[in-house]
Amino acid sequence: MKLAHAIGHIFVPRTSNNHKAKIIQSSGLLLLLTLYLSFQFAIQLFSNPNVGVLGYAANISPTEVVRLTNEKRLEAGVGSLQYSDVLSEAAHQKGEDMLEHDYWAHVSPSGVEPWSFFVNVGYKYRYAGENLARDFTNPQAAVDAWMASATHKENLLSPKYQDIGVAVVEGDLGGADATIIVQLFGTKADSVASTISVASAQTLNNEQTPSPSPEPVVEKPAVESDSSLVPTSVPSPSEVESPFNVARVMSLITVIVLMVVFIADIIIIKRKNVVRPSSRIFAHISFLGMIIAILLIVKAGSIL
Amino acid sequence: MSKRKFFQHLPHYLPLVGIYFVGTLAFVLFSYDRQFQIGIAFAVAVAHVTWGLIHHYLHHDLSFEIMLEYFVISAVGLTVLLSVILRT
Repeated sequence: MKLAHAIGHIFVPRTSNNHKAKIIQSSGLLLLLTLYLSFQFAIQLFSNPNVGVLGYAANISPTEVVRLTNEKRLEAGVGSLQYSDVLSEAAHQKGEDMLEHDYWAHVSPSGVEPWSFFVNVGYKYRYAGENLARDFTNPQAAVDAWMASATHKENLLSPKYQDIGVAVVEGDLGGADATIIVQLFGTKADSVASTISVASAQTLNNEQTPSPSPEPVVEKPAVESDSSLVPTSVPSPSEVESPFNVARVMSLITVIVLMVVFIADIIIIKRKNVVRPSSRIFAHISFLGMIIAILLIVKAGSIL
Repeated sequence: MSKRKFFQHLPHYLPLVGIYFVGTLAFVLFSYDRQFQIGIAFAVAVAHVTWGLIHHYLHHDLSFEIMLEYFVISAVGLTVLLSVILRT
């Protein structure tokens, strides 16, 4: 009985809470905000790689990234890329360098540019490009994100590239678990392919610096992908346990509960014909509706 | 809220809903740009408070308690959005 009364006091407008559910009063909302922040802090704490409770690994296959890249190219009427294990090695080195020096950028804090990894593995390029993605839970989402960005899409569909290399590395980046996809595009300096003439305005060699762009891994002949050339991805446990998904579910529950209480407030107050000074509930419901829409839209992962 | 009151406030509600619609749309269009999404989250939170202050000022019923409600709701919304955006 006491419990029912307490729940009613928190969620339903009545005399005991001055005809406004406690949870949507300023004091209740401040308490809710404090609890929410504490929960977020707990997620952060437990997702720390050193604690390792919420750590997760995404199921990203470089082979799949290459396949999807070539699929997009074929759809756009551009020739597919050849998988290059040399470029994949360069992509792997770039990914490891990012983890080791803890940066998320095309150029490292010490000024190391993407192109130096091409040179490191002995790939003398005429054209080169790089796309980066992190924390996507599947390769399709990463490729879709690149396609949604004009500069990354340009790299992905550029006819001047002939080779592709992709690496997926996992580790601690900025204090959190990260899965990084490095996609490198290139055309060798000594190659005289017909595609080069298409991008004649951008003839580059190792002395010239191409512009950084997003990068996945290249695959062998695109359509007939040779899986032996591409590293296989580590099967991964749970997308559900990723900090992103935990935060999103918790956020959705919080906002939906608030929205339901606001809607119930409008109905009950109108029925009881209570007059009280208050902010506009409709404005809050619209605001929370927008947040719910965004929470449903937002996807894990970012590109560079 | 009575129907009459709702329609009385409609000229204020429409721009508010428009702002939220544009905010949601911007999230979709710039799904690849986290910095921009963070900017949108702050912008809509500030818009919510600003709308509330102007609306109640024009209706001569602005009080500290009402101001606080808009601030706290905006803070909850902003925190929720940032907690997810920063983990994308």
